[in-house]
Order: sequence, then C-alpha cells, then structure tokens
Amino acid sequence: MTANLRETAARLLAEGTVQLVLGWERGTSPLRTTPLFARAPGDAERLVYDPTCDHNLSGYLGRLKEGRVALVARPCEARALVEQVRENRIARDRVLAIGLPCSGMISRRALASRLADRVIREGRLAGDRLVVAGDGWQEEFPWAEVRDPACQGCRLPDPGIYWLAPEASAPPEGDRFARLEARSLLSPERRREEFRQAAERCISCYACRQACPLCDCAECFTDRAAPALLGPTADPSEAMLFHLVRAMHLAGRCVDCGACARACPVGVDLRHLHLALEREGAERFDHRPGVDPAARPLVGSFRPEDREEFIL
Amino acid sequence: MKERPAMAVFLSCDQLPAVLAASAERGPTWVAAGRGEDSGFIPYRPGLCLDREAGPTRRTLKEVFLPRAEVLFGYETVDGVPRLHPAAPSDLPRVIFGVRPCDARALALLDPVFEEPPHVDGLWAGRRQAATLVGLGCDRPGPACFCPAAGGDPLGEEGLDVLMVPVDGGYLVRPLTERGRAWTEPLGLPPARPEQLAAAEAVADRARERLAGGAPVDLQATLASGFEHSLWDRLHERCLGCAACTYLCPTCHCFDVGDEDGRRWRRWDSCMFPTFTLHASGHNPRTSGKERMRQRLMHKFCYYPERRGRPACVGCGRCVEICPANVDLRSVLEQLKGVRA
Amino acid sequence: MNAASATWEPKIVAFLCHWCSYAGADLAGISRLQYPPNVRVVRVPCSGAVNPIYILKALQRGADGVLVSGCHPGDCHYLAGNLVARRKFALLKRLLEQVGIEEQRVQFSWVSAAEGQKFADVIRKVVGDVKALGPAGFLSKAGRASCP
Repeated sequence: MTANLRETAARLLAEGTVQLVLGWERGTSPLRTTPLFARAPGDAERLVYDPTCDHNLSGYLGRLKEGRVALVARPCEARALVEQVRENRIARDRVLAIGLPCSGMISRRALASRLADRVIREGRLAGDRLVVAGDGWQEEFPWAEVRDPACQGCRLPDPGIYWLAPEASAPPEGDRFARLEARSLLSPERRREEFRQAAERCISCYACRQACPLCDCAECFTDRAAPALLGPTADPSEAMLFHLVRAMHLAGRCVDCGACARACPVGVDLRHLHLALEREGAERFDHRPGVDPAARPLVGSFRPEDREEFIL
Repeated sequence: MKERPAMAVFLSCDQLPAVLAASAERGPTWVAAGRGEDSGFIPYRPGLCLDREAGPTRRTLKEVFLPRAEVLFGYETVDGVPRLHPAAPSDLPRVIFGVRPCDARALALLDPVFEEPPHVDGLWAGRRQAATLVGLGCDRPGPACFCPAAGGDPLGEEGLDVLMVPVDGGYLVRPLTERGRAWTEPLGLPPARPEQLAAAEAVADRARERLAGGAPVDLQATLASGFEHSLWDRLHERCLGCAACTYLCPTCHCFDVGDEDGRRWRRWDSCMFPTFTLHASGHNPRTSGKERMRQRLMHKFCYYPERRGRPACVGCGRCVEICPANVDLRSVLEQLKGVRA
Repeated sequence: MNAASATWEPKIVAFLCHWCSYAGADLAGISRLQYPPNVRVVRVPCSGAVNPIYILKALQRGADGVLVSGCHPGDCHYLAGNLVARRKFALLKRLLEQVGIEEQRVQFSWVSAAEGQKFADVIRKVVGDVKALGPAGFLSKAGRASCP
C-alpha cells in the first residue's frame, strides 16, 4: 500500500496536479510518525502509512498556501474534511483526498499502559504484530490489542469526499457509543470527581485544541481579553469551563478522531464529552457529523418539531 | 581537583521508605512520583516512594518554584486609601526528593532570571532558599535525553544539594552542599564501601555512553546571523502551536499577569500562543507560527546564551517526547545549523 | 449538604429575553405576585443570544442555579432565536450530565409577556429545586469571593 501511495503522490506532484501532498513520514522516536509536507516528487519517497500514523492531518489544510493539495486521508481525515468543506473553511476543489483503508491506529497511551510505562527503546510493526523492546525486555503481541478506543466502531465518511476512494476499508467493528454505556452507570458524584481530576491535571497548554482538525476559530474564546472569559487563576474551574465550552463548540462537528486525547501531554482524555453530544445529536436531531458536506449545522439550525420536554 | 564536601554514604533500598518518612517529619517533603504522563513532584504521604525505573517526571520541578498560577499581591481601597497586601510564598517544600540532574540544572539556569538584583522575585527566592534538593542520578537515560550535548551530565551536580546514584541494592548518597550535609548527617547512614564507589562510577560511564550523540545546542552565533533565513519558513510547518513543549520545559519561564477579585495573579504564558505578543491596539508583531517558533528557539539558543553564557536548554528531552506532531528539537537544531548567513 | 445551613439561600441567575420573559417578570411585579427573592435577573436580547459560557460562568462565579427564559416558539422577536436556543440547551443538558452537574441546576422556560403568574411559578420551582440540591460548589471557584 505504501508503495502505491508513494507512486501516486510522486505522480501528482510531477504532473503538477497538486503543489503539495500532505501525509506522514517516519518520526524520530520509536513508533512515531510526523506530518510530511511533500512538495517535490522526490519527497514522496518518505511517505509512510501504518497504524502509527496517529496525528490527524486535516487540521493543517487551513494554513496551507498552496493552491491545490493532496491529502492522504484515512476515514478520520476524510470526516474532518467533510466538516471543513461543510463549513466553507476549505474549498472542496482545492483538496484531492487520497483515501486509504484503515483498521485503526495504535494508541500510545494504551501501549504505555500495557507496558506499565516502561521505557520503549525500539518498536516496529511486523504485519499484524507489534514488537517492542526496552532495557533487557522484549514483547510481541498483535497491535490491535493497543488500538485506540476511538477507532472502535469507526464510521466511514461519505465516499463522495474522496478523489481516490480506498479500495477496501474494513474499519474496526463495534458500538461507538459503548464507552458512554459504560459511563451511564457512574453516579453524578463519581462523574464530578472524574472531571475535577481531569481539570486539575490539565495544564492549559491547549494541545487538544491545536491538534483538533475542527478547532480552528480565528480567535479562541480563551484568548478573548474583553471580556476575559477565563480568569488568570489555576483554579480547576478554569479548565472545566474550557473543556465544557470546547465540547459545546464542537457539538455536531466533532468527528471523534481522538486527536485531542492523543495530543494531551498529561493524559487527559475527555472524549466522552464529545461523544455524548454526538449521540444526542444523532438520537434527538438526526445529525451525523463528518458524513454530508451539505448538512445543516447541528447548533445554529432547528426544526420546528424539535422536542422540548425539558423546557418549563 | 574538585573537593568533595563530605564523604559518600550508602542508603539501601529497604531504608528508603524510612528515610523519606524521617525527612517528612522534619519538614514538608516532596517526591518525584509516578511514571509516564501522570508523573510529577507531589507532597510526601506514607507509602510514596521513588520509582527507580521511571524516567524524568513528565511535569517538571519548575512547577514547584514557579507555579502555574499564583497571587503576587492583593489590593483594596480602605476609606479611599489604596492598600497592597504582598503575597508570601505558601506551601514551601523543605526537601525535594528524587530530582533528576537536568531539572536541578534548569533551576540553576533560572535563578539569575528571578534573583539577579535589583529585581529579586521574592516568591521564587523564598522557595529556593527553603528547599534542599536531593537528586537522583540517571543510570538509564531515556531515548529522548540529550543532557551531555546541552552541557549537563546524567550524574550532574549543579543545583543539587545531595546526589544519590543508584547502584546495586541501594543508592550512593553524596552531600554536595552545607544544606545537603545537614539533610544527610542526621540519617546516620554507613560510609560507602570502595566497591560501591566504583559501581557509581560505572553507572556514570554506562549512562554517558548511552547519551553519545544528541543535539547541537551551541548555535548562538549561527542563529544571530540567521534570523531572516528562509529555513524558518518551513521549520515551523508541522508545529501545531500548542504550549505543551513550553509548559513542560523545565527552563521556559514566561508568564503573564492578570487581575481578579482584588488580586494580581501571575500565570504561565507561552511564546507559542498568538496572544503572547498581541498589542492592545490589535497589532501582533508575531503574525504566524513561523515567528513564534523562531522566538522560542532564538530565546533558548541565542538570546539567553548572549546574556548568560549558555543555552536555556538542559536536554531533558520532554519536548521531544510530548510533541503531538513529533517535532523533535534535536533534529530542528540540526537543521538550524544551516541558517548561518 | 453540610454547607447548607438553616439560613442558606440559593443564588439564581436568570437570563431573561427582553421581549417576553423580562416583560413577564415585570408583569409579575406590577401584579404584586409573590415569588422568592433569590433571583438575579440579567436581561438579554434573546434566549438565542445566551452563550453556554454565560451559564457556566455564572456557576463558576457563585450562582447555585441558572434559569434561561425566552419567548414561546413562534413568538420570537427575531423569528427563530428561541428555536436555535432550544437545541443548544438540549445539548448543554447532556453535557452537564456527563460531568455530574445536577439537572435542576440549569433550567429553561418559555414565559411570555402575558404570563406573570407563570414567571412567579417558574421562579418558585427553580428556587425550590436548587434549594433541595444545596450550594453548587462544583464549578465555582473555591474559596474566592462571589458576586454580592
């Protein structure tokens, strides 16, 4: 697959069909990849594609100056692209999405937890198996055991968004909302405690916001000075407000790629907030993000018959 | 010949919990605890111990001395007269246990920033004067570590009061300062045997061997001449513009101030944010990620060395490990060699 | 609710739409209807103009409960502001549920300019609900002065 991708990318660049191909190349640490901005046909040789490609590339599209670009797109990139097109953030004809089949990606957090946070010195994929080694130890197991939970029950985007659709995509099966089902048993006290702990851990580096392909407001509400919506303190309530407002702002737009949780340097994972809003959008308003570039926005639109049983 | 201020003693692994408990009895003691992304310095509680296998903590020692946000002073008007209430540093740790040499060195790099007369930061200085730093040498540097290239050492002593070197069955404990002696002596530990001293040397050699290579941090002249180089246009491309690298950097120390409810707060700020240089007029001299990333690298590897004689990087490798896009400082510095005019 | 002493009274921030609910509150007043004095009213142009952060900020800065009230569907001065708000509030409720914030802390109502009695009833209900829950605490800034 990688060979095919490189060849396609090199051809697109050589023919001048696009000025840039956005993909991944091998990173500097074990099992890491890093975004590649390929501008010359020769650069395409560095493209790689495997389950260690864990960063969502679509977020870069908005800042590219090139007129026409090719995006190496898994379902995550493609769903984000649907939303970007839907919101007129990207002109549809500027982006050729090269669709790739995806069976999920490795979660570095799941891997670290499986290895009890031992230091990984080497890591490689051999087919379906992951081989990792450190000081005096080596382990080998199917990489799917450390697949990102976000990949479970992946939704394929609208095929219409691809320029070159993936030949065969068999995303991991399962119920996307299973995580919420498990949470539905938690008491409100437990949920508050959980959220408070996450907020205390959060260092407000905004890696989640920056890694999100759809968190691309010209000015984030956190940066407002007049009125300042967040205070100058390190009180956990500031982080709580940030994460709640971010979740509201992504309601109906979040494509559940999990980039936010993977980007967090201190292990905060609040994807269930986004997922809860996605489920409410689907069940109550029949809205599914990342599918239809012509869909009306979830927040900001309405149907006269929207239920209002909660209103006094 | 460097004079050893005191003889090295040996602390066995079994004794460690008792030593920590004893230290906590004498004064608030903080410990490097946890592994991976949930690690940092936290107040001692019974049962808390060092984890020899753990690398440097994710959250840095900087947080203890320069908290994420703190009150500088309170203010109010009483009968028309404005009054200030300066803040005193609260929760002063007396002993910090398990400090890696890179983190201690980072504090030493920051001291002149906060303590150089005439502008002495009372909060920083107060905390620094109160604390005894008990270091833990690195026998197994992580894959992202490059302290020797940054002028440090896996068994570096700068900034520490005591250095512990992990050896078989325990730690070689070496007081480095008066304060360190005051902490070590009451423990009544036996002097280290010659083979333990030799083992400590071997630990150092092994660690240094691992750390060969690294990154070219000595770039002051190169960067000074290459501010306008076209390389900067591409260098920042992958950078997302979050503050993970700066907030978890042990030497990044920029802050902003803000008021709320009659209190003036100081809070971490990052040169990677657009608001960092946003003027009241709406003008922003650093318009894109290019200028912001350039500033971060210039400050660390050009401006700081110009003023203080050495780069503001200790090679702890945290920024390498945590960058969501795997922008690796080591390879960025390698590329920056090319900006020489 | 140990903090809820016998004398504790909840603080409720009510965002009222200028065209209907605010006038409804006025009517309750000039009709001399009795309702609990725990409400601080913030007049807004439309319930659709209530950004969720206003609600969260109110809870952060010392409110124990929040009420947002607008025109009945079909009565919006801006035609559909309240219908847009309705969706936003439905989603906000789900979000607050995920972090364990009690459902009755944040409530919504439609009150027209002619419904002085309904306004009094809504306030009585919201105050009673929040009183039963006790002080908010969770989202509020620990130990800092709240709005007087």
